[in-house]
Amino acid sequence: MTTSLILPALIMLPLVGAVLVFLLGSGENKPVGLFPLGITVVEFILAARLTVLTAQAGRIVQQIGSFALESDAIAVLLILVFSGIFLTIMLFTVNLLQAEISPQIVPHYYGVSLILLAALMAVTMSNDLFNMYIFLEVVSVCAAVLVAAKGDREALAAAARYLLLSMLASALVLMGIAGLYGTTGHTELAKVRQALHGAISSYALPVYASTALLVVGTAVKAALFPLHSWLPYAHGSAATPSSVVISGLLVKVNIVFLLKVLTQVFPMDFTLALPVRPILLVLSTAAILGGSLMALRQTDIKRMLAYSTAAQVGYIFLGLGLMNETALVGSLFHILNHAVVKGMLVLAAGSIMKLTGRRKIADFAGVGRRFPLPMVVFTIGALSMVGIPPLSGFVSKWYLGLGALDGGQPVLVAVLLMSSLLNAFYYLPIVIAAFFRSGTNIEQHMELPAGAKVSMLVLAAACIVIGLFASRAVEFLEPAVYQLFQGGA
Amino acid sequence: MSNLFYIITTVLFLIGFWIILSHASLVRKVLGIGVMQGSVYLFILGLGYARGQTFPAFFGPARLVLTGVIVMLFVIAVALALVKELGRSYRTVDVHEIGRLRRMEQ
Repeated sequence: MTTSLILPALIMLPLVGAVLVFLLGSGENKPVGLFPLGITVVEFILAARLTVLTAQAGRIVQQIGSFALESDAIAVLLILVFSGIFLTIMLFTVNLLQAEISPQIVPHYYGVSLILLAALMAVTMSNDLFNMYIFLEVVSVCAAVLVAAKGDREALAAAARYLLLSMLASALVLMGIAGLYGTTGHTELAKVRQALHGAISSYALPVYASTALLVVGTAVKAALFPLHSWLPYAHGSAATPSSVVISGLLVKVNIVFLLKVLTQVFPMDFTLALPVRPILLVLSTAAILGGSLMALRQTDIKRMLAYSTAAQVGYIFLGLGLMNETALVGSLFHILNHAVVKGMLVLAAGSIMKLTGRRKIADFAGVGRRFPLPMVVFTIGALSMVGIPPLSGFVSKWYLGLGALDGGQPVLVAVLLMSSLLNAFYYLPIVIAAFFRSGTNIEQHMELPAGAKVSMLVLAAACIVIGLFASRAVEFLEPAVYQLFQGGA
Repeated sequence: MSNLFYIITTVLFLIGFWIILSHASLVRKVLGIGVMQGSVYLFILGLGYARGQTFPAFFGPARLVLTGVIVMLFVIAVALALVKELGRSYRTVDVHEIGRLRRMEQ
């Protein structure tokens, strides 16, 4: 496929797929599950092709009317993560989704998922503040629908809680964008950046206020620690694939928005002088430690994973708060790493919940002997979370730690080490109990479909491969990250 | 005069926020968010206003508002649908009441 078509194709393909799923919709379930899987496979192949093209060209821009799409190394990494995680989710749900949500709405679930995928791609490739806002709204609504799809009142309440908080946050973000638009006269990232040089001196207060609104609104949507209250509910009560969407994609895409605002809209010297950075550092430290401590107290496995996500979001914000080359590489790498690892953990925990009907951590004793595959995957994920060297978790902690030293904040290295210890405290007992203690009368409620097994194995392999070939990924990212600090857009 | 416009939209924004904080009904909270987002679009529309002209000085703001208002409508529709289902399930849309019922279930 030619370069000029690949960027719009990444957005249009899932949209067309969604329309077809809605049209073919009701009736037999089996082809409905396979069709979206096919779409995401093609999407992932396109993303891989785009990676090669971007590696050659450095930067691809495609103008469609007044609407421009662009991709650089950072965007490509995110496109690969989003489409890859989506692929494994779709693989996991073939023949399994009916077990979690009512069969009549399964086609709608797939349709909404594909719209969500298209919106994720659009946010990542867009270079316009307002368009990103619109697509983030689409992402939020689709995510709320995916949470509510489970249909019980718990899931409905969680979805309503999430959607209302997200809408409130959107109103703040929108006011921030309106403020920047009012002071600069543009919404396109590069043009806002140009106009901002003049605007900062004459409209200092509106620019600062807009920045504050953008950061606070995004922090709510990305579940940064004191504002994370929707996350455990939505994550804990949603169906397993929806939980992966929340922790792997939904939270990340909002961080991507903030990253674009801080690095591509504001001139770097302005971002570095913002009082927002120390605040982000304090909040991310609170998130890393607070999220881990909350996770330690949970008795429900999915709630525990949700609080763990709140802690991991802290890592990514830590890189944004430090705002130097190494820390930003660590942050971006952690977006990749956490999406893969948390995907593994949620899918493995979800399969065990389906297989045994148990979701209390205390009831996991002995399940590893009975069902080795999901528990081995869970163990690899847990070790990666703790940061055992060959696995991917170690690499992001390494770069964040180096970034903290570069930024003259050695205390943060201690925070990272503390959090590794805390991660070990809440993940490893589950693993040890599952393999080395004998469980009582573990019943098998159902057979795990082949797709689910394959998807977990794919993620586990990805976790190991990413850990082994981390230097390649970092080399790919570094030039793009350095460029952000050179002043060129 | 144009300052008055910005003051009015900011006050509307704060009124929306106040509605969300002060009312327990989920329907009113959704409407409060609608007021907040609506006030921002009004603000953007005001940016295109020029003194003494009957049409906007430039069309950028109008384009943003037309897109944004449609998306806002669609988000509010989904939110109200969720609230409706929730109300059917719990027989109330009062957040405190729903919270109490959920604690009783656990």
